[in-house]
Amino acid sequence: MINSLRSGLSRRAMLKSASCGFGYLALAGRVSDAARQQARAASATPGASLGYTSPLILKATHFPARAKRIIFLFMQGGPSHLDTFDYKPRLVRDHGSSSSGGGGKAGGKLLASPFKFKKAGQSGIEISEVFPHLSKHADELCLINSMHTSSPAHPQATIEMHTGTSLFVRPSVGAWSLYGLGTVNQNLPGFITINPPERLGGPQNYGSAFLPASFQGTRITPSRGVKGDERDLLSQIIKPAAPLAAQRKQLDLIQQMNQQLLDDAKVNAELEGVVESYELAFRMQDAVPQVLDLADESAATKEMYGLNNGATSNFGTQCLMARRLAEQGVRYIEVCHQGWDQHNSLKERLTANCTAIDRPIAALLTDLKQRGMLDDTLVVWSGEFGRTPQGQGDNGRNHNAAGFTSWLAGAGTKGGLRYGETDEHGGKAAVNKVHTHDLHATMLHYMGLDHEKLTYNYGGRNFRLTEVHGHVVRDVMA
Amino acid sequence: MVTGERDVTTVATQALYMLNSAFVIDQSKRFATRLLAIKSIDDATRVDLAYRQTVGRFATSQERERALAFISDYNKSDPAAGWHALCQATFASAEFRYLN
Repeated sequence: MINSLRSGLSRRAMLKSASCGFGYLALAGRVSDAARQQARAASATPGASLGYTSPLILKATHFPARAKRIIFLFMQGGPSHLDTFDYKPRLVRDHGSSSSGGGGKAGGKLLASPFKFKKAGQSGIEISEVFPHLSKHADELCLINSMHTSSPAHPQATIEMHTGTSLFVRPSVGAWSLYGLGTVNQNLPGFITINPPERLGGPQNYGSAFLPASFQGTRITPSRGVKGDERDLLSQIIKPAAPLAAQRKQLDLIQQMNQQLLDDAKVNAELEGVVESYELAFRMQDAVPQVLDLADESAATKEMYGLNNGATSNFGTQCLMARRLAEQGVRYIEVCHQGWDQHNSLKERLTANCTAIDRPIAALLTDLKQRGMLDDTLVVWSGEFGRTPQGQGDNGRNHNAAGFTSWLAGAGTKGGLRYGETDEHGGKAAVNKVHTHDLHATMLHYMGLDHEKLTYNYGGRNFRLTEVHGHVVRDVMA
Repeated sequence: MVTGERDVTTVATQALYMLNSAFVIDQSKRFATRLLAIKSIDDATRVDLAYRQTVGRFATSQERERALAFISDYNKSDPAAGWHALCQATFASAEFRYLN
């Protein structure tokens, strides 16, 4: 890589001719975001004539964006839409009768939800009684009742929800977003995933695949303690190993070594990238622990997120962190809650899960709103698929890729809306169907990106998140 | 199967790993300890040996002087700490991290 030289005038060469040199600038911490944007704006093909340009600098959107950032609340396991957000009166009436519809086995007996649905908000959309807090935000939610996806198996569907396909290793939605938009805070990673599944694709779900590595998600696992989880690499390496003054001396030496190599190579974009990555790392040591430290949050806020209650404290902590990261300019934040695979003990386990997320998510929406951030933050709630209207035993449901519910809130989403429909028993998406590809196209659209134009050339052709699929669901936007 | 050349692969977490991870620190300390255990050579030769064993070449006279100055400046009461920091810096340098 050190020998792969780029043609044209590098930023280094340009700065060198302006007498100081890039190394000096980097070490002095004077490569400001504004300067980089100016440099980029001055160039017709951004970065092309400047040698190394940080891939994370802000980039222009394709059209004005509705959302500056996305918070994706991922419910791993396949949460039952029939017991949460997809009210089906016929399922109650036909309880116990045989049905061949939906994603379940032919002849399975329909199972009514053990929960009652209540009309909520001014809009009166029906939401299950398991979400008493979230119901208060009904007029902000757009329930997409007509979701469907390609596979009813957890790993494939989870990977598809995150990357668009499970057939090949592809960049995640967060990585595509960063690639398209860059990030506003150069002291923090632009894509952070909190508590992601370790299996079901694992890092693939927040990876950058063939996109530059700068776009991959950074994983944190606060549910096991922000500090001290040996599997949470970031929590270990974010702590300076030496006093800052001593580390700065050491870093200066490293940078002198790199600078010398750069002098020998004359022009080298990747080497300038190395120099910059050390400076960013040094700044991140300050910025990341600060943003994840909840000590300066008020008692009222902590109470609102349910941090004082064992049932809600884990997910509440994660949602509060998500808000703090959003506030600091992180572009794409995923928060994961696991264990929604209710083949049995549906009533008990679904109650526990919904209780764990109800208050925290309601608090997140309230908090974003009162800070004026709900206007430009898209909140997405989704599992990888849904569950069958037919029972599995008398208190469980099987996987269902043919119909499920995701919901959107914020960034000019039409609230109090049930968009699309499943069939009469809730088995299959039937009206205004929205595939995972369509959801992805819509998410990019919120961010001001055209999913057909956001391409990356790799291995001889242009790739996009939605491949040859995807339709923006404009009707969910006000 | 589609293959391709990766673009820029430098991320800050890699740099953090080289600066703060227990593994890199431990390896740096072992390297420094090994260098200091050789009593028959002087510090300048020791710097040369560090370069030979990490980047496969002798240090230039400028690098040698810079390294010795760094060690004496890093921790005046504990030269071993300076050697450790030097070894870690060498591991963290782009020349060590990348094949040319």
